[in-house]
Amino acid sequence: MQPSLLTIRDLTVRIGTHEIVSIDELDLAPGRRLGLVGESGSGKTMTAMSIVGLQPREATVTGSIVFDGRELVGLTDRQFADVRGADMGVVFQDPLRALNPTMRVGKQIGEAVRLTGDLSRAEVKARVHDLMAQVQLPEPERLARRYPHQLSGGQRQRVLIAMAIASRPRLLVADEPTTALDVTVQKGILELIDEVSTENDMSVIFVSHSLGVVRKISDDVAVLYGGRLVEMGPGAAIVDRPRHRYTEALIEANPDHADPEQAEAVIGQPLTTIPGAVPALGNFPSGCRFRDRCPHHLDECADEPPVTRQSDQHRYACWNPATAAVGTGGGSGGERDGAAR
Amino acid sequence: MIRLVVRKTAVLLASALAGSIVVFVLMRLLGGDVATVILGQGSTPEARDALRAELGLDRSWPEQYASWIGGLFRGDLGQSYAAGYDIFDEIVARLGLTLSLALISLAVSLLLGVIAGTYSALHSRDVRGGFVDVVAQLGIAIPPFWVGLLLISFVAVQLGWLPSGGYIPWSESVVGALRTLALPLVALSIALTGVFTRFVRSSMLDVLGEDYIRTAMAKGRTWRGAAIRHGVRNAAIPLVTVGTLQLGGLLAGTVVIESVFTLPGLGRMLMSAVTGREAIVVQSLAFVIILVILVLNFLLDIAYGLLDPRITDAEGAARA
Amino acid sequence: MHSRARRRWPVQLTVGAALVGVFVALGLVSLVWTPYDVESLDVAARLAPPGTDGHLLGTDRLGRDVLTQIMVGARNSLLVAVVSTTAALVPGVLVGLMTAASGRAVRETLSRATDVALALPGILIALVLATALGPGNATTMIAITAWFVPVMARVTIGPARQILAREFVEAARAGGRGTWFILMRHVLPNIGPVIIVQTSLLFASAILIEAALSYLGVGAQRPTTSWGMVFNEAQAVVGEAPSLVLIPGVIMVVTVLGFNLLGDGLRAVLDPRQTTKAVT
Repeated sequence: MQPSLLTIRDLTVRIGTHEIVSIDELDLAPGRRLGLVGESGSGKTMTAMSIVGLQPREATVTGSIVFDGRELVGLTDRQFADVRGADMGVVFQDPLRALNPTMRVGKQIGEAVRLTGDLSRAEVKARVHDLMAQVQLPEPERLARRYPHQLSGGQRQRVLIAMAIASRPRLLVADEPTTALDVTVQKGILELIDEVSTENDMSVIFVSHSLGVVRKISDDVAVLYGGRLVEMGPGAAIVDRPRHRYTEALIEANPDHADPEQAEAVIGQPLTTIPGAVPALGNFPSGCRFRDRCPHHLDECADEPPVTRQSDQHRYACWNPATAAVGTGGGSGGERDGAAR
Repeated sequence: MIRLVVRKTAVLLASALAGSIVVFVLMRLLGGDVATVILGQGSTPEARDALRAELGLDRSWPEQYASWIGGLFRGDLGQSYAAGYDIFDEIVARLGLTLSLALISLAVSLLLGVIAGTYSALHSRDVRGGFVDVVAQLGIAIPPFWVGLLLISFVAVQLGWLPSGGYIPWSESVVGALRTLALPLVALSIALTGVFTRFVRSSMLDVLGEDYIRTAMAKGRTWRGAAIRHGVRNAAIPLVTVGTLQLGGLLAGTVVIESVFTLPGLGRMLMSAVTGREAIVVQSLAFVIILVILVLNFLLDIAYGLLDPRITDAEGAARA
Repeated sequence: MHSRARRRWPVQLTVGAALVGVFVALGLVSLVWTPYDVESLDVAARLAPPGTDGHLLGTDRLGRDVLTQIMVGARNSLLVAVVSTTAALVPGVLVGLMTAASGRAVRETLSRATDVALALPGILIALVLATALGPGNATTMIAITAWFVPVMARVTIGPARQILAREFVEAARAGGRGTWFILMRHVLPNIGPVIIVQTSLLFASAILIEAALSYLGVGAQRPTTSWGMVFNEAQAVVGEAPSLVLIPGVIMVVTVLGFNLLGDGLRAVLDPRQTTKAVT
């Protein structure tokens, strides 16, 4: 097994008395791509943000996040800022809001470049143009002088990507990078993230609500519910042969989202919800957090579910898992149809 | 940008025109009979008629207005009948002092307000931020003329550090000017700084929740670094609008402060004209003071455009 | 999260109300009792320092009791503030409501006009008036009122427009209600908080302007006693007796602070969405 770039153990993120995220174990190998999937409120964005130290200031992070051999939990503001500047890049959900409205985009990219090390003015400028070319922004000379509101949504997201890869980071975190964009430009942005991360040999954490997109772009998929990691494994295994009842329900409720062929058509759409509502913060049941919405729940589900290792990579936490043989589109039993709607 | 300047210049000219008409009409309606004031109640009607004819007050309002405005451009606004000075020359001679007071205290208050407000916002979770806010709140309640009196009493009279009044023009001695203006400027700036500090604090607290602060952190800045590099400018933009709302109060404060420190500016001139009931002088002075406010307003509008590219674009789009 | 924090009784409100209470009490008590007669001169005890027997806060250069002057001055400030704010309230709010309910062209014009009026310093208006009317409390009150009308209109326009855009107003309109009925019955009660908050802030402004004008000599004249006058008379002896400036000033600042805090506190309680924008 190759050494991890990122090793997370017993990570919790709290705001006040509420526990937003609680993840026992999550690893990311160098060069691999991990998709974080879940409904809104599942804690996927909070998980990703706590890894790069950008959780809200009122949140407290405990546990262990080891990145490239260095413990991140407990770092000072300054130390974490240096780690981000050197080795991490982040692409945010809403590119218009993520850019400073009163600063030319060239200058904003230049800021990211300058924070990677001591460079002369000319070197910074050259690197900015180089980055803009990499993210396929035309006429860098002219575009760099524009303000964010003068660019299109897709161009803005490309600017953000240019900033994220300025330091050639080892880890790129993309938080729903296409959600706020027009359907027509979403595909291009996804391809660009795919391309730049491959070229620069980056690990990627891709936060998304779309199973199809995640399966297409990621090697591994982690499914979150109520701030807990319910199932984790290779993308194909998760989408085609889910074991956790939540993953199963999520896929069945959203067959289009799970289909990679249709991924591009539906990335802009929200997930169809599973029957029952996600409980409010702090109102999750004991034991398995999904149990009161789960048609397959057993008495044991009131106890904390055990982590089962299906294989080296594939694990899930469920008392009454779906049978391993079941696949999408396969001749599954009537029970599944009954459970789906 | 050029469009913005052109548009704001047009607004400035239109406001100045409106202001001059308002002042003129008000003085005609309320100013009383100038001839009676000059010659006294015991004067003969013939003498008053003769004086009115001499002053041009027997002509129609439009004619009088036109000759007033014309005089403004020619540099001839007539003479003070009580003190005998040439009104235009006197205004020109005193303008520098009043402008210095207004401009410097505005600049100083804006600067201090941005610094203190930012500090207060960045420490909003601990005692320091709250302390700055309380001090600012207190500062707003302190009237300039009272601070002026206290400064005269303690700094000027008891400690003897700075003069308690009088003015040495910039052209004579820069140090002298600064020494004579220091206390008046402090008096004028306290309340204004309080207003700006509180505004920047709340504006900065809004800005700190913006996504681009997080983006700057993602590039490798600390929270504080991101807040200062990206927050201050964005928080300061609405401050410009707040600044324009304070201009009237600032000029009013200047008028009062000139009396406190016996400074020979437009405010003292206005006070003696009001006391002497010299309607002709008051009319021109009131208009000049309004003009100063309008010009400062114009400058702040331009600063707003320079700070926020979205405004400049909106101007362009509106015209296109 | 926000609602919980906001529902707490704000400290400013308590402190502000207490300070305002002291000020009002000073003014009202002076109607029935003051330590000395306002005009009595204790020539033997001229410039007595604070704490002197019989003169708690000392005496001025003519031997008048400072506490008495402050109490009677508070009464005058209270009078000017109440009269000018109340007089500006009705026309200001009416102009604001009408502006909000008008069509685009009229609304823009009236908004611009209030902006221009706002740019004029209140003291300048007072000085122009004083040239014509002569100095006095009446001049002060007319000038402050004239300046407050556009301020009141300005703060009314925005919130009134927000209310006018709401569904229940649409419903009332669809029900055939006239503009005036809607403004009086639906809009006015809803913008009440904004008006109350602004009134408190305007009280503070009125007290400051009154003091400045009477300091300059264009406000109240003897035998009326006003705070500004106390400062004016103290300036001549400011080197010997700084307490003559200090003590009345502290009381004035605390009063103004009280009204400002009261306004802030009321805003936090009545108007949690902060639609009020202070214009002073």
